[in-house]
Amino acid sequence: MPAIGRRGFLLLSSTALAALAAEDLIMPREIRAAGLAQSSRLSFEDRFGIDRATMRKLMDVALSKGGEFADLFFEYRVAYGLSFEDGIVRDATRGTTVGVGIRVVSGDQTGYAYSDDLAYERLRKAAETAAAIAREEAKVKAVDVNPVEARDLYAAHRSSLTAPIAEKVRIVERADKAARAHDSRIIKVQIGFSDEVRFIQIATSDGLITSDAQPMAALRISTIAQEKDRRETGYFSGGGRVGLEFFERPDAPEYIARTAARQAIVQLGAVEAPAGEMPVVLGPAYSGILLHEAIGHGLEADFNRQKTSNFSDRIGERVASDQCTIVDDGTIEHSRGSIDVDDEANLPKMNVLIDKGILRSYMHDRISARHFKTAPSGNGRRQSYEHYPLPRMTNTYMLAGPHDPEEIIKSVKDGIYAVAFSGGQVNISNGDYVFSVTEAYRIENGKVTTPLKGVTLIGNGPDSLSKVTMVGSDMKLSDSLWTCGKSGQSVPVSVGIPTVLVSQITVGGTQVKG
Amino acid sequence: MPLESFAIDIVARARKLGADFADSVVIESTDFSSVYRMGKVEKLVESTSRAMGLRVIRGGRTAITYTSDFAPERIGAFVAGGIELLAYASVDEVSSVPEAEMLGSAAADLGLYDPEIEAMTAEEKIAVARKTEEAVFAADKRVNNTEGNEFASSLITFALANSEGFAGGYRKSVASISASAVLDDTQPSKGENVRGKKQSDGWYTVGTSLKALETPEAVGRRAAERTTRLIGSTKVATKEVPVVFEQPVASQFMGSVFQAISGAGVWRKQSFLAEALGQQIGSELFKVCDDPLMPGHIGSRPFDGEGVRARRNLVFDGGKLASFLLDTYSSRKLKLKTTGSASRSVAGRPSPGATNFFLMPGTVTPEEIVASVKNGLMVVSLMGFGVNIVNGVLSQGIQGIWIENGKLTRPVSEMTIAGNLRDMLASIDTVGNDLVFRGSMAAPTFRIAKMAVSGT
Repeated sequence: MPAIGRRGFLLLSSTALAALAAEDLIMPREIRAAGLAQSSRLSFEDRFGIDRATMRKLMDVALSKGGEFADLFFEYRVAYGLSFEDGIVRDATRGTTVGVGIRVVSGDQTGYAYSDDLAYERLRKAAETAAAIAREEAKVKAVDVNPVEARDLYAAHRSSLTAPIAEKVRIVERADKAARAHDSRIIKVQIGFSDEVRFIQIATSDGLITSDAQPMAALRISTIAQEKDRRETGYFSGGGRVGLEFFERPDAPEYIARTAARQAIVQLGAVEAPAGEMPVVLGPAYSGILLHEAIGHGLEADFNRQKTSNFSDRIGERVASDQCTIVDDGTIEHSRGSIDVDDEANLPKMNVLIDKGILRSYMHDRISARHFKTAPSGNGRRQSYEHYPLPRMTNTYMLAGPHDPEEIIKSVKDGIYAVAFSGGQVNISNGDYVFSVTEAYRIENGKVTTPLKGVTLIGNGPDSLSKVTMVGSDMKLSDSLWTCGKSGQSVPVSVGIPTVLVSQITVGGTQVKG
Repeated sequence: MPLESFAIDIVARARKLGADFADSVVIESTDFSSVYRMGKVEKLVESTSRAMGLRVIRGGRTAITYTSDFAPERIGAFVAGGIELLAYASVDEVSSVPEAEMLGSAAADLGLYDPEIEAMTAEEKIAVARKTEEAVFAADKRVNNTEGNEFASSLITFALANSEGFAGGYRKSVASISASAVLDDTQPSKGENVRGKKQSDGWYTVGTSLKALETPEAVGRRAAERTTRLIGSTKVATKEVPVVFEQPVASQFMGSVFQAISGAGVWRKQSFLAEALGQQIGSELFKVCDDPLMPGHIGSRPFDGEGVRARRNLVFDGGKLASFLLDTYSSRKLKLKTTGSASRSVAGRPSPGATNFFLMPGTVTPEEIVASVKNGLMVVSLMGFGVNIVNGVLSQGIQGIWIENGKLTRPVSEMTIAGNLRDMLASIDTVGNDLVFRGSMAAPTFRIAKMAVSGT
């Protein structure tokens, strides 16, 4: 069912802890039996009898109607969740999903079918269904498969799948204690700890085979502070493709908890935000949401193949100020958006999207790469076996610039300093984007002053990036838990940015001057 | 019904392994989607999938497990896994076990399954998507592109059983047609390095039967009309003016209203309405109801996600907050009775959800509402997530059409509207007669007396 339409969006899940895959705790007996941990890859042959001969047969069926390319995407996902609230573990959750997606491509047409039953007959039927996108005689034969050597970006010392659940409960309790200790006005702390491993295996008709075991662990904390009749909320999260050691570092859960608590307390003193255009200083790391919305989605090549993006046909043109160099890089160790291999068996890399303000490249999946006669950029991603791949972002960030962050704030006479965000959205076709600020302050005569109530900032992608007049030296990647939505599919991503000054953005407050 | 007996069996196994209470939900869905774009089928997806979820409670501890693996030899381990997980949950003093006397299915036939949807061939479905695209391009020659035009359908079977003796199931069919129009906006754009700007919008229709859908021709035409009216959008000056929420946006706004009265947020004090039961909140025109018993409606169902018999709930009565929407757990936290509003996915515990949640229509037409505005804004789409339910602060991106002397004059974009939900509900001063359900949230066009609109 159409929801928010085809606009791309990015969301930092807040109170909806349960909405994003409930997960957590003990190691499932089947994983234990197979001797698997998150760093090892699952053998779909041992577990489900999917051997090379079977894959070859399925590929032949998939290509039997004249498709030019086919791939098989096997997925086995184990997820755990703990929800902690009012001092107790309210529930523990565990889930497994397994399935295969079979895709056939003919030109820029895609046939797709999936099955959660890996019995051969069901797989053959799915291959036939996908094959029907083409209506001719078979013209391509599958090539024998060659393994793709992927790196390992998620090496963990303490796999969350094999760790005792009691240790995860301890992490959650540490966070709860720190949030409550931060300020007596914190009246509510809600915590979710989730961890999962997504085991995948991909085989393509042009001869690639690869597998990966993608871990994801997350601690999410939401708080409510109350003073008299006024209640305000805070939210912060942390994690990535990490093991439990990430959360067991000194002060790690405490830092996440304190940040969530501090935000709620700051909001108790927040005043109504101004309305209208003004200079905005964006703080480091989390403001990377600007890049994700203002240009990221618009540079996904499916929109440019279809010429529905405002960046279509603009390679080589100036779309940002010369201070802006923006990349998408799926190869950063342990980052939430990283992948050893994309969901089409291509290796991710660092792709320069904008070099000193000039648009250099789009992000590709196989279909768009073929259309633009270029190599896939390792951005073909899918939510699960129930979804076909699309060009998607991984970790999108701006390189550091020359300015001292303090100097940037000092340069603003009357403006806003935006620090934390809950989510954003973009209209791909006209380039208008918004993002919601959950922690912001007024800047008066070069000084950060009063906290402001939550506001939306709205602008146009190329216009705002052309108004980036100062770029800080403090580039930082966010380790918050960003989830990117597009065409009904969610994938984990990350963003990063140094402190930047945008000389003019529309601020959506309520205080109308004059 | 096989899925129902499956759920009953899972519950019996869980009881045998020591659960005080168990409930199991099993969902099967057959999904089809064809996206037609620029003269050919671009995406064709077809599949059937199943999943089951199990909730077990023992000694006040709750665990939830789910799987898509139905292999008979692994069912025993699946149930045992849930019991094993109980050790890691704490004792919750508040029970989420539903009251036995409230369990049951509504007797009425809700008419949620249309065999004609099941009978459609792939070719027929693709033909609908094609006709939709043809209508998009036939409507206006300035429309020169599309993101794709889709016919989609789902045939869903839902079954639920619990250890209090409830077992029930129902089938629902859902079909939708959606259209997208894109055009090159050649009007000069302000802003640096802004070139190649396009405008896009779309339209869709969705229902549980084919006869409930708008025609592909109407959907395509509407998408084109909604897009051409955006040509030459600009940003105008910041000011406070009356704001008209066009019907699709009004319906979207109901999502925020729902969150504010959902028991899940209310007991946690995560809503600005947490203490407002019985208070006058909205204007007298603000009458809101959640009704799962409307025949053929997409949100309808005979029982809720805990097996509680479905019933209609009046939420705002002439602006007065008459009831929250509650599941068993939130109702006990608030010392109230469940309203039969639990929704349930396989992967989580029950939580209040909307069925057909709507603002009751008034008597004036949308045109009359526009005509009533001397200088103001009609919002035609919302962007972003800027609604804070805890303190009621709303600040969202918009596209809209400016109204001068009762007439729609020029499109605006890159602007925001801002206000406080409490003030907004109280200042709804006109409600239209154009209520149409295109999902489980619905509202007719309405007008808010004054909001801050931010632009230049």
